[in-house]
Amino acid sequence: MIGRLPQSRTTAWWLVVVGGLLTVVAVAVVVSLGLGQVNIPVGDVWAALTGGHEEGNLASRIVLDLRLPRLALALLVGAQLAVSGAILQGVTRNALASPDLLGVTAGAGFVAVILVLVIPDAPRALLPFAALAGGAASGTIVYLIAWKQGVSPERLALTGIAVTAIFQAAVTAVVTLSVENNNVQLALQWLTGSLYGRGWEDLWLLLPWSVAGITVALVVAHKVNLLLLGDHVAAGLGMRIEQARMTLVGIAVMLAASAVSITGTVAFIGLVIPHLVRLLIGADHRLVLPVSAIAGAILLLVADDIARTVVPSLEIPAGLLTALIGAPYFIYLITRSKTRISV
Amino acid sequence: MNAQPTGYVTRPVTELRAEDLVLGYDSRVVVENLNLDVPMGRITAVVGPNGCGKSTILRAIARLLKPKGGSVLLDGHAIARMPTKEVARRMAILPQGPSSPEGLTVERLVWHGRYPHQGFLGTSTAADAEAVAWALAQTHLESFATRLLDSLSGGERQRAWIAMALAQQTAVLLLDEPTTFLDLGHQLEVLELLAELNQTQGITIMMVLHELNQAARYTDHMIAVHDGKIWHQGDPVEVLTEELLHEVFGVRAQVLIDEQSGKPHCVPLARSNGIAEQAKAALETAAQAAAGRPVGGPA
Repeated sequence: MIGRLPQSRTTAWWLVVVGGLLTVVAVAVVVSLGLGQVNIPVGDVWAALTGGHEEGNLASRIVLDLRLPRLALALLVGAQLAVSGAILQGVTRNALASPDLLGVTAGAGFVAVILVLVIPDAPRALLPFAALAGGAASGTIVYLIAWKQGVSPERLALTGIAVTAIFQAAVTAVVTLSVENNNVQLALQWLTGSLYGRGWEDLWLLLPWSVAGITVALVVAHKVNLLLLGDHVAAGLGMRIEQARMTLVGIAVMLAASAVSITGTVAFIGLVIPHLVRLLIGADHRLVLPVSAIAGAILLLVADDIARTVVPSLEIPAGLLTALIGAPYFIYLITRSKTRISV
Repeated sequence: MNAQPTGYVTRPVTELRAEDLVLGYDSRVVVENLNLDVPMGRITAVVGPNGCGKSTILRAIARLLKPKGGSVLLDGHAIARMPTKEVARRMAILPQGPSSPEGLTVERLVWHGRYPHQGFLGTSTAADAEAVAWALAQTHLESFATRLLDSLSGGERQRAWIAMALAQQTAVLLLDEPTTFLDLGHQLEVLELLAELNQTQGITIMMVLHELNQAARYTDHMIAVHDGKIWHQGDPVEVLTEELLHEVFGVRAQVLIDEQSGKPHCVPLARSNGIAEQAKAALETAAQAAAGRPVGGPA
């Protein structure tokens, strides 16, 4: 009836979607903890989770020391990248926007690689900050190059692709040059996003960034809705547009860069997830952001599960799988007619 | 047309004026030393040829354009120095041709009008719900609440945007060419709605209009802008004259008074310096010369 709080779909539909997604998360978590080089039955997984750390018990060590932090990181990184993409697509009114396409993840990854491989003595806690600086710098570069009395979606995408390519080449160069001084595995992890070897240390490092970033994003989500009405309308409604845009983009860059500082550049989550979510629940960003977080978490978790188990005794980087899933969808997006690619 | 506000307006405005405004884009100055007092409680139309600066003036008053000089004063306070939300609680603006984002329903659009009254977190109150319900009722859109904005006709969509501005509960409503892309029926729909709002709620309305006859018919006060200056302002009968049409629009026209409304109505005849006029003048000159009369004298 008139006057009730607005919803883009009925409450029932919204509950189904969120309930469904959370169920998937729960199932994926339980399954993931059991999956791997050593398959651990669900019962043992549960015992390990509830029983705590037992020195002699292999299952509990694998679950608690190796898989649990890695899984938690997959959920957080996936969520952060998806929310970052959702914000950027809303703020730039550009369906092709995402932290990877705008060069943010590439710049962040590049600085992170330098810190890890070239200056290994640097304190670990510095990593997300350095990545943030790198991501902000590369994102700004892309925007400045693409700007010509405004930024068209195509110019932004093309410039982002070019700048990303440059930074990826730089990452490859650094990795190749530092292979002699470092473990090859460690170096290769940074060529494409991966969760291999990420443990509790990495989780504690990322957690404050996740919590802060996602919380603030959810609080300011309604500003995206207003910006979508157009600058003049939003200003007429009393919004300080430039401030809002900077806050939103700042949060998006912070979420993407800090995530990338832990895993390297994981592509396509930020681009693809917001599209799927908007298809499911519409364009009210107070809902799109949290649902994107859950969906992104699931995607990366599943990608990482597949990546580490599909070929026995071989660790495929999760970033490869997200690209395998995401790239075809991206191509499909581009081939659709222009009027339907909109936020 | 001068009805007192019935209490829906939360922040009444007693004075809105522009003082020595200098407006322009980049290095180009479009309007210089403009002084304008918006009549409260009445409907004002700003008319003029393309590029005369009328939209520029409206945008400056709405705080969408930063003046290069001078100021716009709301109850004596410069709006440039007031917090944006404060201004938005007193003045609502409906810009030209607003874009409708995909998937936006009428209801959600109107709810956006409550933004200036909501706190930092954007949470909604009973007062918000009341204002939205009222706005939908005023624009006769109650049955359209859950419809998608894109699925509405031009006139209905414009009414939805007006409903959003109404939900802001402002004393002043500014509109930039609200009827330009609508067909005649929808144009009248919007204008009649605005007239009704002014009569029943006492909302001060100022709008840029292209259609001179509609402007004369539906407004109390007309401001004709020419080359960034106010050419003349006042009652439509005084402003919509053959002189205005000739000097400002370059059109030769006949102005009649409509019997029913008492408002002026112009019938354009030809462009003042158009080919037809030039040919006519040439023929007259030739006829006078042939008749042996001094050229240029009385016919």
